[in-house]
Amino acid sequence: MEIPYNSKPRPDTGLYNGKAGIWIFLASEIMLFGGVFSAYVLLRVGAEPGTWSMGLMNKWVGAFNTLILIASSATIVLAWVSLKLKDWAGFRKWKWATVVFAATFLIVKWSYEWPAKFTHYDVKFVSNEAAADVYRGFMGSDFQEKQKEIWQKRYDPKKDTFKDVKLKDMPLDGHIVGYWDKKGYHDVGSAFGLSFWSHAFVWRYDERNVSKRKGSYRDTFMEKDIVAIELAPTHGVWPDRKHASTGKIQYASASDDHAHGGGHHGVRIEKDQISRLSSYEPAHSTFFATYYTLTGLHALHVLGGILVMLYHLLPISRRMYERDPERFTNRIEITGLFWHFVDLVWIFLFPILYLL
Amino acid sequence: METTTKPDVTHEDHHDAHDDHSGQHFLTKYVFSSDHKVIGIQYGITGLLFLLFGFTLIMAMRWQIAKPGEPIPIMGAVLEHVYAHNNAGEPVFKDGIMSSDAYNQFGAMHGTIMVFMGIVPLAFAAFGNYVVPLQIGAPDMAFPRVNMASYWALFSGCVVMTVSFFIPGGSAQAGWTSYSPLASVIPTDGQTYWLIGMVLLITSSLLGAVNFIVTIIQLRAPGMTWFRMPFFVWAQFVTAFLLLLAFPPLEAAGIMQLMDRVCDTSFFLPTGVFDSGATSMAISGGGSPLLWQHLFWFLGHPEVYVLILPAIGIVTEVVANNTRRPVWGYKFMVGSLLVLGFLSFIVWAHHMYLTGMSAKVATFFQTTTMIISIPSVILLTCLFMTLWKGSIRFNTPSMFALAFLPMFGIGGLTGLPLGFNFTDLHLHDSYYVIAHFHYVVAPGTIFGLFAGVYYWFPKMTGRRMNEYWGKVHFWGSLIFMNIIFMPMFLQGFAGLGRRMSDGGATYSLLQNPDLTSGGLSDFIIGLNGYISLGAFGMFLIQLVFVINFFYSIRNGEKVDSDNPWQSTTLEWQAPTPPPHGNFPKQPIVYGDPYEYSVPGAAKDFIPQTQKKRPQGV
Repeated sequence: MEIPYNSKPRPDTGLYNGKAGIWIFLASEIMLFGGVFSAYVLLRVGAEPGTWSMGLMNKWVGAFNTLILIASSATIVLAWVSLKLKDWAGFRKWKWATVVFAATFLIVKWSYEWPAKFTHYDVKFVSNEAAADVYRGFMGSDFQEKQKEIWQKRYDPKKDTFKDVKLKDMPLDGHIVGYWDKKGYHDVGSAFGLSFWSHAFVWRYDERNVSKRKGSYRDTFMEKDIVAIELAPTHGVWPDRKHASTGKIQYASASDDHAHGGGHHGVRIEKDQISRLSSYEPAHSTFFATYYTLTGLHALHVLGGILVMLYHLLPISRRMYERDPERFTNRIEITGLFWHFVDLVWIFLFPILYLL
Repeated sequence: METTTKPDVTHEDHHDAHDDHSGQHFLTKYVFSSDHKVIGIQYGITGLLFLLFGFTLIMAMRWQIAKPGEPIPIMGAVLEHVYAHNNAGEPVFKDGIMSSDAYNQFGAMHGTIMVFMGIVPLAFAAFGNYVVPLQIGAPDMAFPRVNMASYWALFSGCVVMTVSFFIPGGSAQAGWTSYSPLASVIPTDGQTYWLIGMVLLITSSLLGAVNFIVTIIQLRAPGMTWFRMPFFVWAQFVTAFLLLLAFPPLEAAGIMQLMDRVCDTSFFLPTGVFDSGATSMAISGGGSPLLWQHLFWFLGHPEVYVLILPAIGIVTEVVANNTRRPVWGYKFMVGSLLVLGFLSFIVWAHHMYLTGMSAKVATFFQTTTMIISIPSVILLTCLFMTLWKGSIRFNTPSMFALAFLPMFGIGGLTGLPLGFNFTDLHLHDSYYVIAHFHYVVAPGTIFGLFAGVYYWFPKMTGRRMNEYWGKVHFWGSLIFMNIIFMPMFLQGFAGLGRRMSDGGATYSLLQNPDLTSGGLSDFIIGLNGYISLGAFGMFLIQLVFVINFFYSIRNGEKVDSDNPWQSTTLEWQAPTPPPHGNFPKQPIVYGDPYEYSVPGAAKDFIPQTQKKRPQGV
């Protein structure tokens, strides 16, 4: 039994089945991403001032990935063109190029972008006084002026919403470089020898004695009877990098018995001062929840595309090409349409997650 | 499979294909088959089984409503031992009594099973798969292997859903609508299983929808122009578009709720939610419960039409065939269908009048809701007009189809007070709502589906189902359906809420004699017993159908021709049952789908494939 119009277009519709199918399928894909996009819009519009954690992305890495994907969209067309010109070697060359670009995109995301966020934390404080103590400790007494400037720059320069944000709700972000327990200071690298996946955690003042997720950094954090953490603030909050990771930061600590050569390069924050300590993981904030959902869903599509393209490079595909070149070429065209869509989704994702 | 032929393949080619098929292993022929008819029957059996399963859940609930706190007879002891225990390790059916937890679980799963695992697989996938390619003269669906993947995705989803009854804590219990924040914060895993199951079911529907649309666009036989397609094909076409475009936002919402549950995000959790221990929840907050409702009902409303349109399609086929008249206003009906499909995307918020939306938004949605009733009324009117002066044959499919018309009419008209936001304020979430939508889907859609089963059974098996027991099944179903759902209108008017596990006993005047308003009278509470009796009677009558169905597969009266109903459409021109590849010779279509009782014709029907047609047709 044959299905008609598998490779030749039907005269009155001008389409072969696969092409009709992929366009219909892409319509549903638009609705799928549209659902999450609309969630993004609604949640962002409804966010309280200062709670939409925008501007923490590395936009140059994002731009690099954008270029990579655009390039892959070009190479997949070249692969199809080669096939139309009966150039199998050219097809393989351009198809491999597409696969390499796509894989690069995923590698950048999964080995750099996401892990960097899972090991990046921010702290909210139990009170305005606690926050002021910490900030004053390393920024000097005029910290509030600096802060106002910075926060207005980051969150809402047009509206004067700074005064709505309480000091205690303004997160201080950076890397945890060490901690103190009753025995003294510990470097974090040696104490938390865990993979970056398990670094991601959220810890709150009101769940001091409650442990939900086993095996995470949070459990370690709570079990060690930690009294304070050392946080190296990053440029995320403080644009003048001289405060971060230069070893010049001063903090007041009585039990300064550690063996660091150049002194601490972070801020000491007492456990009692913390109301919420969270890595940049999905649970951090609604922005990050949306970020991981959108980029994760997109990454799954990229992965799917890679698998299909690898299938087209297997010997079985070569045999199909020899048996029915037209149908195989159609398949490459359909893959290309899907791939352009995946690319296009990223072209929307990049500005709304990295730039706007 | 790999090479292409023109649509006018020769008889010999097809013959070879059949031989290939008959040499197949049992597994590839009947289980992992890519033949649209086998897949259609797989869908059909799955759908019927889950309809029965969903019905047994509601019977346990009806016992609890009629006799709150009394052990369920017979099944209570079984459930106590078989069913999942709660998180504390205690049975949720302690001493055979249904706890509120169990009631919520059964209620949530009843809705989910009936809608997503019962009616969608049966109405859309089963009948669509079996009948659509035959009616348009195609050898199979456009993508046979995608078709198979679609069924197995549904199967996996059904397995996940069913398994969730037996995990600690039991199944989902936040209702079939799965509203957040409740659904996000319930500590048991049932809700997570529900979400995973839903993602699989949605994937299945999406694959199916793509396949249907492409099949109808691409594989119509020569001469089968758009306005020569039987109305059932049109109905499936529009339904497929609804599934295609309305389901993905729910999939997105499902993924986000899954994130809320698994990754502790706050998509649907606002700042400042407290759990049952009155401690602030360890979440980032900033989410919106309303967002879930919007995304859910953006699917939820088109879903109503996904449930009803295939049934209207079946009823149209059966009515035209058994009145021996052309469908009155075929093009009006097709137009109405398209308008209905479009409008169904812009009425969703009429399910949300009580969320505190502004008067302007409510006005918009109640206006669109009133407008959407116009094409529905046109459809129903055309079907009634078809009956006018017809010589109606009262066989079983015909009776189910005829009963569909007034029953669906009641369901539709009782929806109007729910579409107006000022009347909805009183009726919202009451038994009135239950009565309304069950009139649409139970004596509405399900009667349409029964009509379809009785009507196409001879094509699938070569035998008829027993007419006498079919009529017993019909009259019993009609009577019990109305015994069940008609009193619910009264209960709803009186203010009985739809989710109370004691059937409103807490608010009865008997227990609260000093109540001055809002109490429920003995009469209203007493109706619960009659309704439950009706439900048990309904179950017994369905057993007649089950026995008739399986008995007739082997022992039913054999049909004397390929076209036992003297029908015009293409599926009756195929051999019985149709072989793999369907038609021995590519059919060519010369006429409209419902050429019955044409003046001057030799017989009272002219098949679409008949070339020689009377003058003026």
